[in-house]
Amino acid sequence: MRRMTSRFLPRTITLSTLVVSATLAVPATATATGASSATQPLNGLFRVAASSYFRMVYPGGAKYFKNPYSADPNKTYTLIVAGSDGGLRTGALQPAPAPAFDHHGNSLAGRIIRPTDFAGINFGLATKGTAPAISVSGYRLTGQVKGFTAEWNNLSFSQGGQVTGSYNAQTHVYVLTWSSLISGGPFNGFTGSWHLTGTFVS
Amino acid sequence: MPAAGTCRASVRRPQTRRFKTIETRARVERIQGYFGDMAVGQGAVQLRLVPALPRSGLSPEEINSRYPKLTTFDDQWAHILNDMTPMIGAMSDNVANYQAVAALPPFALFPWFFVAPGLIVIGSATAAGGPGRARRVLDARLSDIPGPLVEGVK
Repeated sequence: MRRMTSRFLPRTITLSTLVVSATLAVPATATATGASSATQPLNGLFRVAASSYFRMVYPGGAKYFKNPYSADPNKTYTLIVAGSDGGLRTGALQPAPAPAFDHHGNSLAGRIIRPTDFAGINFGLATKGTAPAISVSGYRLTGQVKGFTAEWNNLSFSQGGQVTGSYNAQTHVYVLTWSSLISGGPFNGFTGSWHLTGTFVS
Repeated sequence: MPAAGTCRASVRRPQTRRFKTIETRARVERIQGYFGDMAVGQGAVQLRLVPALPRSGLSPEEINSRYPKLTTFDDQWAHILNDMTPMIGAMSDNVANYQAVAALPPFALFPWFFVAPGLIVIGSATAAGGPGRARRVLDARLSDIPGPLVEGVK
């Protein structure tokens, strides 16, 4: 895994990371402030804040795909913003509409994120089959987003996987990350790397 | 345009062999890389070059007449992606299939897979004494069986 240094991090990401890190900082009196180590499911909405992003790694992990249409100065980061639902729901599906694409192949799946330009065609996100399930234990998030799919250019890419992250029960700020190897299709061998951050609403 | 001889040669060449250098995982990954490079190039045209041209004092009409391919490329980019992406997908998804087919022996040898076992069977039968010997063995076995039952068999 390539180590991210501040030289490569876009300014927006660096600032948001600092804010999120500060917000997620574990208080010394964790147990006294109500953080429980028992595993509890978080069913609700993981709101997607503007500093969430997606990256795609070439086969072999040698380099990242550059999306010239990314709003970030570092084009290997494709910034994503909340869609009509406000973010990713757990315990429920957020399927793509029918039809799922316009005549150019732009995704119309706009519930999780607003469809975002990726190399000239908009991609959207949806969940199919298995609803996402995420639990918190203390400050640690674990779970699955098996049905997570990225829709682009009349194609649907499975981007499901096991998620990990952190959660602050006082501020409800979360960070979720996972990676998913693309198997088959034009991006076979690429790995999608997802980083969602924002607040959780039950 | 290829010479007529080249065309005839490629027609004679088995279809599978013509993809030998193309339908490999390394080549597919290289084309995936080309796709990434093209995307960056198109982005540069769309996001930098096209906006910069009016700043040079050219009107939209002058830009279209002087650089018509820029506009065409931009207009066609989505269609290029619509065509190119499934092509890369088909190439990638069929690398294993191609290699399995390419590993088969030449098609011209296939009749021999039937002829050769047939020849082996005939040779074995001949070496064992042919049909006459088989009949003699059968008669010898039948002689051990009571007459009325043998009639039914014969």
